[in-house]
Amino acid sequence: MSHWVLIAEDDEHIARLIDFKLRKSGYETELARNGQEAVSRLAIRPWSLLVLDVMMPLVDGWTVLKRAREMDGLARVPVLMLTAKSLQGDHSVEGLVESRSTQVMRKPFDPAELSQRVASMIEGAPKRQGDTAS
Amino acid sequence: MRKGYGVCPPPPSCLVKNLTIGRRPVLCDSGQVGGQFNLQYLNNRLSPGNLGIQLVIAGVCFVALSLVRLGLGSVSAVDLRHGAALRAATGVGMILLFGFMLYRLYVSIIKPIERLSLTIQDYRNGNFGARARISGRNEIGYLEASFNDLAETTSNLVNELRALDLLKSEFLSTVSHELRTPLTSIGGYARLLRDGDAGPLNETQAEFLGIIETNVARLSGLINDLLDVEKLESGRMQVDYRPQELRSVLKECVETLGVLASRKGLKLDLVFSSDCANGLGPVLGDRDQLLRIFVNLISNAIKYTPSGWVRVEASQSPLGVTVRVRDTGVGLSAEERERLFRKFYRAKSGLTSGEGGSGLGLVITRGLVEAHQGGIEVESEPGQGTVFTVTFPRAVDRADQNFRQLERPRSKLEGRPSSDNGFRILIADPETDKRILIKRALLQKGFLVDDVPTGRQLIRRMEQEDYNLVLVELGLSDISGLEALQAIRRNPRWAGLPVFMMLDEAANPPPRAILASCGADQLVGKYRGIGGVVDAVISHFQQLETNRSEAGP
Repeated sequence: MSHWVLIAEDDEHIARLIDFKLRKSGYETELARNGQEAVSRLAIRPWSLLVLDVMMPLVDGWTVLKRAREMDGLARVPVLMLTAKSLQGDHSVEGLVESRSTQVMRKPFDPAELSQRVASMIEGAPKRQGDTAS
Repeated sequence: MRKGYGVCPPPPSCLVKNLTIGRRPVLCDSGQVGGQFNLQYLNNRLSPGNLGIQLVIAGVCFVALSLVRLGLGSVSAVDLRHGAALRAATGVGMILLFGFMLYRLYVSIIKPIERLSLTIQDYRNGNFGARARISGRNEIGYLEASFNDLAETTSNLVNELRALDLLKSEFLSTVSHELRTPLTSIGGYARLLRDGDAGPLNETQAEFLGIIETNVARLSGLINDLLDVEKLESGRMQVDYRPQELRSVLKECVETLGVLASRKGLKLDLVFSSDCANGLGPVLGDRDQLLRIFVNLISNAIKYTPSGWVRVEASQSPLGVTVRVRDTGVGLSAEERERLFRKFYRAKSGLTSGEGGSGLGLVITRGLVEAHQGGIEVESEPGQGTVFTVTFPRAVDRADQNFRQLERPRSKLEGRPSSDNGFRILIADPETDKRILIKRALLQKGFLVDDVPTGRQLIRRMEQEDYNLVLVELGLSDISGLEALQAIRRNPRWAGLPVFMMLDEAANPPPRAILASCGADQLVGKYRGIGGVVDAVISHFQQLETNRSEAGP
């Protein structure tokens, strides 16, 4: 069974970069160009992982993350947050990145490292109900 | 309208306008500067000469009565009975008049001045909202209105600067984000190509892509450095203070950088003096940032050393930990030494060697060292190599010791400032005014405060009593503040006692390394008003309370 990854990133070139690398690594991907689009796509598929840019127009990455966590199917889905800003001292997100299923990656990032991180997060994620072993 | 004053000052709203920079709106509402604070209003409505006139009238009455009395004296021989009655009456009248004058003097001059000076003190202590109440239509009233005006202007300026500072930080943060986004694309696609994700490459193409990647890393490092400098300067750098054993920190640095050194054919050694057998330190600080300090210094030494060796030497005394990074590199001229810690400065020899660098490394290093209450110094001659010496105060289990020393009631530093919080502080300052000012401010915050004017009295008082904190002015008159500090630190009884050194305005601060090696805990400047001293004391005790509540239930 192939894994579906939702990529929410407003920068066209970075989105294409992630998309390219993850497809190359064998994942099925779908792109959302802003937070609102990402939220509207949360329910359409049983996502194996979400890649969310923090700074997006309309709805930011943290909000998308909160929405996903409120949904039954995505409460424990691995989420990789991408950010160009340091999170040091940002108390509003401290609670959100504590859990193992939410990780943060700083920009600029190495695409190979991103793909490795995605792989290890999907591997370590708790199996969803109804999933068959791949 | 009276023209009692040579220059009619512009109303506060004008002053405020003059201060705004460009067309940005004034952040502080100048509308609240109306009515009673307005000088123009005073000039129009009040009579500034009132007080003088009152006094002149009172004086004339006094003189007239005296004259009457003198006149009566001359006729007293004629009619003794009437004379006696009149004399008694004028005597009583004079006493009453005198008493009345004294009362007027108190009410119209002394009382308002007293009130005004209290208000000014309040303002100096950092309450920028403090304003004087206008007491009357006279010179004092004018003085009070003038103070209000100045206070308003200054607080507007402070607000303005704070807003600007905030804008600067926001700007840097936004710019860094805007720079990192294209950098992510450039570096990311270069990496994809070099990894062969888009097809096979020839050797030259791979080499060129490697060059792109190196420069992306450099640019990215520069952005991080810029943000760090900003954080250090604004005091927003977060340091997680915990006792750290420095030996493992230094070992880790040397291991990491060994590769870099050997690639250049340099020998990189780590030497501990014999007193480090049981560990180095501990030093109170953040492990990551301590690592960064030494990685910066060692990689800098490697960068500027074409051949020979780089040696890291560590030693300690009961009070301080000293680490020297010594190299046989190109060295520095006197001019270069002086500019070394300035932003964006890079030694010439480095510029021509083709080595990269933002010129921010040492600024960050020094900032981080100072954030750990330490000091950094450089010794070097051109062609003779360079030695960087970093000194940190050695951490003593202060929190614990302090709370064992004095059994004190449970207290909160916030909330009830008027009630006493049980902490005892001793101030040593030769200047009575400032000493009393600091004492009063600390008393207000609920501390128990004693004060002495000289260094010898300081030591004597400390021998007699137990204190939780000592504030020592560096410029004591009998023995210097540093000598007093050394005397304190020589006595094991006070090993864990926090000592804050105060520095008066316009004085040259001694190198932090010396302060640190003498065992000073903090250097607080008095030149920004005594508010800084009070804040330092409060945050020290708040830290203690936090540590204590974290340590145990």
